[in-house]
Amino acid sequence: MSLADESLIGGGGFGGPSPVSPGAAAVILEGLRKSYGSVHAVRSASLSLQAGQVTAIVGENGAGKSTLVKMLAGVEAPDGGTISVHGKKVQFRSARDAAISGIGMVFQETALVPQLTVWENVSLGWETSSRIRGIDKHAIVDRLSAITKEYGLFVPAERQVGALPVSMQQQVEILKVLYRDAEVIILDEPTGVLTPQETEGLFKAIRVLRDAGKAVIFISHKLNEVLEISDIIYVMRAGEVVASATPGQLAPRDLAQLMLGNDLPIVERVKPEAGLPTVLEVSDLVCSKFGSAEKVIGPINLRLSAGSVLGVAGVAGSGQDEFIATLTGLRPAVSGRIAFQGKHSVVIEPGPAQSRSVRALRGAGMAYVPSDRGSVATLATRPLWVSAIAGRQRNPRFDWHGFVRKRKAREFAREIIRDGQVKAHSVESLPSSLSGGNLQKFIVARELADNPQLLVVEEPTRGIDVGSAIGIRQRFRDLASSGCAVVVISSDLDELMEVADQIVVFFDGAIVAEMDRNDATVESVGAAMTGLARMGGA
Amino acid sequence: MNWTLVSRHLTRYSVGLAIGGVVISILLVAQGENLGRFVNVVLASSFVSTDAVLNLARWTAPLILSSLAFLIGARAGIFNTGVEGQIIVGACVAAIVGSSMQLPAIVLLPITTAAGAAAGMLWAYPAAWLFRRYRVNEVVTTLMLNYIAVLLCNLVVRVFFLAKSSEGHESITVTSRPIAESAAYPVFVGSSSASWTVLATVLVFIAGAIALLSTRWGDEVTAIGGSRKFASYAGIDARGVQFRVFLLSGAIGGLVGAFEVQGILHQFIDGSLTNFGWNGILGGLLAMNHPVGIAASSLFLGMIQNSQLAIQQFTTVSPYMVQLIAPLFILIFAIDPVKKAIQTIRGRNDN
Amino acid sequence: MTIEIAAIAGSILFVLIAGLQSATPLVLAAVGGAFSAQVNVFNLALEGMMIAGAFAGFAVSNLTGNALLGMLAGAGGGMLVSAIFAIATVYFKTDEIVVGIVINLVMLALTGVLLSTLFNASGQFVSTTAGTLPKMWNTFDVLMPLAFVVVIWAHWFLYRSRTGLRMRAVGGNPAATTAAGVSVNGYRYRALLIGGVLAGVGGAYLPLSGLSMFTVGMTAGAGFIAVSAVLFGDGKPLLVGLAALIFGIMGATAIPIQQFKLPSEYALVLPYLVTIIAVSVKGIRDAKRRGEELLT
Repeated sequence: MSLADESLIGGGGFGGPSPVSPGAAAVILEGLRKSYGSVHAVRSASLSLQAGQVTAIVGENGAGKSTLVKMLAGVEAPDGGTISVHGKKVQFRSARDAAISGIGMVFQETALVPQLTVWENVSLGWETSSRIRGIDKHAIVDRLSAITKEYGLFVPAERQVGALPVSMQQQVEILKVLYRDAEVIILDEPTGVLTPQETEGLFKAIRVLRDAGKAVIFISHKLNEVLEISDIIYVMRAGEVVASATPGQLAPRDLAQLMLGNDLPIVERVKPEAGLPTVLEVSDLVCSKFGSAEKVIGPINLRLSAGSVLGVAGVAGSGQDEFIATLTGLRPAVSGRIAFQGKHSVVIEPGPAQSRSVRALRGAGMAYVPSDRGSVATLATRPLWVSAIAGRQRNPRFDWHGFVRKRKAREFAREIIRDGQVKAHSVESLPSSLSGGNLQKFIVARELADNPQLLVVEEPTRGIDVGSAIGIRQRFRDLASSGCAVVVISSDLDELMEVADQIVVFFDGAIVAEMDRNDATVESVGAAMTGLARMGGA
Repeated sequence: MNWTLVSRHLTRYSVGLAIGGVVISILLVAQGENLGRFVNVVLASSFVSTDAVLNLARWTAPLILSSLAFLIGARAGIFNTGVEGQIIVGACVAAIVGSSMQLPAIVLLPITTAAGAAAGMLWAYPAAWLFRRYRVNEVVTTLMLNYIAVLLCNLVVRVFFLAKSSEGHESITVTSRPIAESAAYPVFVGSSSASWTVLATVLVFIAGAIALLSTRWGDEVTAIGGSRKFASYAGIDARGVQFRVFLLSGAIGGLVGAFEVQGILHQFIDGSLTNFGWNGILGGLLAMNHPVGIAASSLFLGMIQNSQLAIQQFTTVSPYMVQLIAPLFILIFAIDPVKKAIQTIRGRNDN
Repeated sequence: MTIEIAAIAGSILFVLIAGLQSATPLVLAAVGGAFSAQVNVFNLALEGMMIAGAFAGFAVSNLTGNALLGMLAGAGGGMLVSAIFAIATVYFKTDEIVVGIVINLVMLALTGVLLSTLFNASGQFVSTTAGTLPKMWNTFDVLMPLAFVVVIWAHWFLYRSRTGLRMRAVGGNPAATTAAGVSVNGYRYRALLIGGVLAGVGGAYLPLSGLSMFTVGMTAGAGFIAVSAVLFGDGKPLLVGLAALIFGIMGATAIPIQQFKLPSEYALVLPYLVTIIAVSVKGIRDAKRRGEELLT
């Protein structure tokens, strides 16, 4: 698809990249490719960036946006395709090369040294200095204040970066990029850490940069922001740039549809009978956000009946991880309660002593398959049979007066390997010797071995071959049919649509949408994940 | 048995042994000695007679226990550099308790030993608490406590429990009053220095090894050291168990000190316990923190320690060679050139 | 009455001078350790570097009769040991605590072996040919003010020079430093080698500052006091230098305070006690800031 003969997006369907006169383009990406082993992060991406424009790149998780801009910023090397800056083909061997060509990137995780001051961070690697007199601080600070005045990004030059609020740290990162005379500035999901007011501040700064003739690239999954700030939007899906448009031409629905595609088969599911006992009741649950003392998740209210499957969707960092950690007893709640009615009743209330909560929940029939298979669900340093009895080690079947009944443990391990159709060499092998799919089958089989009343499972088929994935999903459906309740957290919306009866969507620390399976579509779920539900545009 | 793992370890030990052997040969030749003769002397001093073997046992025992102290902590993810200090405190308290009371052996002996172990545990407590509550680096705190232990015990013994000769003259060196007969472990045979503490050590070691390898508690400890998140996931009280293991590590250290005093020295003598802790840590590292490996590494280190006199008498080699060999091997071993070589090769292929 | 005052004044003067003398090697080694701390490497091998410096300095001074050459050799010895430490920890990525402990033990024993090999002495050797360090006003070695200058220089270097900035960046956030195009390992090597040079000079001071004699183990844990000073001062040269100075002076009071019926241990224990408190306070403050977010 060449850049020359595109058309703008019309009513239905989707169009191609927009027409841009190549002469004015600051940067042209053509046919870029990047794979990590068997994962094709970017298949073939082409787009052009104009000076004095804000270009947004949108797409789902895994669409390839981050990888694409990382290639542009010199952080990753492309496997194929070309990058042209002002008409000249370039090859970046490092971020420094890209910086010399005028391309700078502000990363999602702050790349600043907290102990250093603002001016030290900004000039790191680019310092004006002499052998004898050391760093020419005046020259650096002068240059810095010239830049801050020009772009209206006022940051105290002498303060320690670690003491600054996150929004200011982000501005320091922008200053860092400008200090290196960047013409192209890439912002990767910049608003995740910002409050609404801080976001407005950022947008003001972006507009100044754009009016000064910079090319700003804005990556976000939050469609409302994208529509507000950008001049042109590129949509990526499955490693390719599939469409482009200007904000005025698109309703949020259209954009969401472009991002998610609309060619998925919808599977009919039998709705569970009403009147089944409640297995799980979450009341006004509030938990603290990872790594932050102030922000919280919640309050969350949920009810789950036996035999029904609850799907949990949400972009990473929206709060579902904290919720699951609290639900499974691994983290204490700040307030609220969890009532689990399994083999017997267990109530979790705020307060410490997590290991007791975990054991109580397990004992009452809660099973949990975490997303981290290698370091949480299994123990990497010991043989499989040790991981096999994880969570059951106190069971008299495996514990004789404090001694480990290794023969029984190995026997059990063999059982679950058989039941789960796991391809494992022996129960003495280390978990790392199993392929991703087999390890997951092992873990799932282990968790289901005691006929649990509730199964909580995170990312059940991420990185797993199609065959194993189908088998795993089948197990969930069978499980639900036999009366077990299931909570599935997944970034694969197709998967959620397949297995869930109800879907809840997390966004920005709360549940923003609750949909019955038959009413939900992948688009509506995806749209809710972008905050559209809050906007009322779903 | 995971054969790839085993063969990797064997390669590492052999390469380490080879390189170490070369370095030591060079040093020996510079002192007018050759490797073959040197090795002979070393082996003979530990194996040539029953007395020799008993002397070997005398040196190996405290190393086994000291390594066990470090090992147990390491299994739970705790780097207890304070074993040295815990040993000293244990020895000091055992010397004080053993010399302050006149009780029959059946009472005084175990009480003294228990006091030593308790003292070691108490000495580890501040570091353990700070780690549990505030994640304060345990290496730093236990390291500092080592030096404080030396100074404190010297002070206490010098001021309150200093030994006096029969004429009432105070001892010049910091030495405590001898412990009562009933607090001492008897010697095996008159001609060697090994006492029944060796047997006690072996029992403690076997108990510790069984606990680590065969019990649920041992598996939980190993799990915590492997991955705290996995341990929590499996319903283990990771922080609590880690804390208690830290204390246990200190207690075993104190036990080493108590056994040294009750079995060999019969007094607290300043400077007599130097490096038992460090060599124990070295033994633990050499054994890659496996209980069975500790028996082997302690034997190796004990053999070297035992040969000090013989080396002085029968070779032209400096007695400091004895102190050099163990850490030298550990250094070569720890650096693990095999691993780096493999990584560099793999790195080239993966990219 | 006046005699007592004079006695006390005499003691104080003695303590100050003796204190400065024992503090000099501590200050030098501690500042060397501060460089390691700035690149976030826990350097326990200061003792080994000092030992190497002491032996190399002594040997060369004995050979040439020139104490200043001896100092240079001491720097070289310290740098050699720090090179081993750096290669083991940066290139081979071995655990720095293990390497530190082991290097100290190796160096201690190695000097014993070398002493007997090269000088045919066992444990101690008095040199008749070694030079002495030049003195100012017949009391202060030239090295004492030098140590003071080194502290100031280290502060300037770390906070005003380009290399110093990059070292601090490496210690603060290695990932960000790599992203800025600065070589993390390169600056780690530089910092460790500078540390080795300083610790080596500090160690060389011990045999050359008086009796021209080398005893195995003459560093007597000075390297660990230096480590304490580094921890106490949180790797910041001015604070670290001050801590080392205080520790050295306090250590010199160990004998005089016995006049006042106080045990010498009171003076000797200070560095370690004070360091535990400092490290714990810092740790508690850090934990409170993290919101004690200690997920089990």
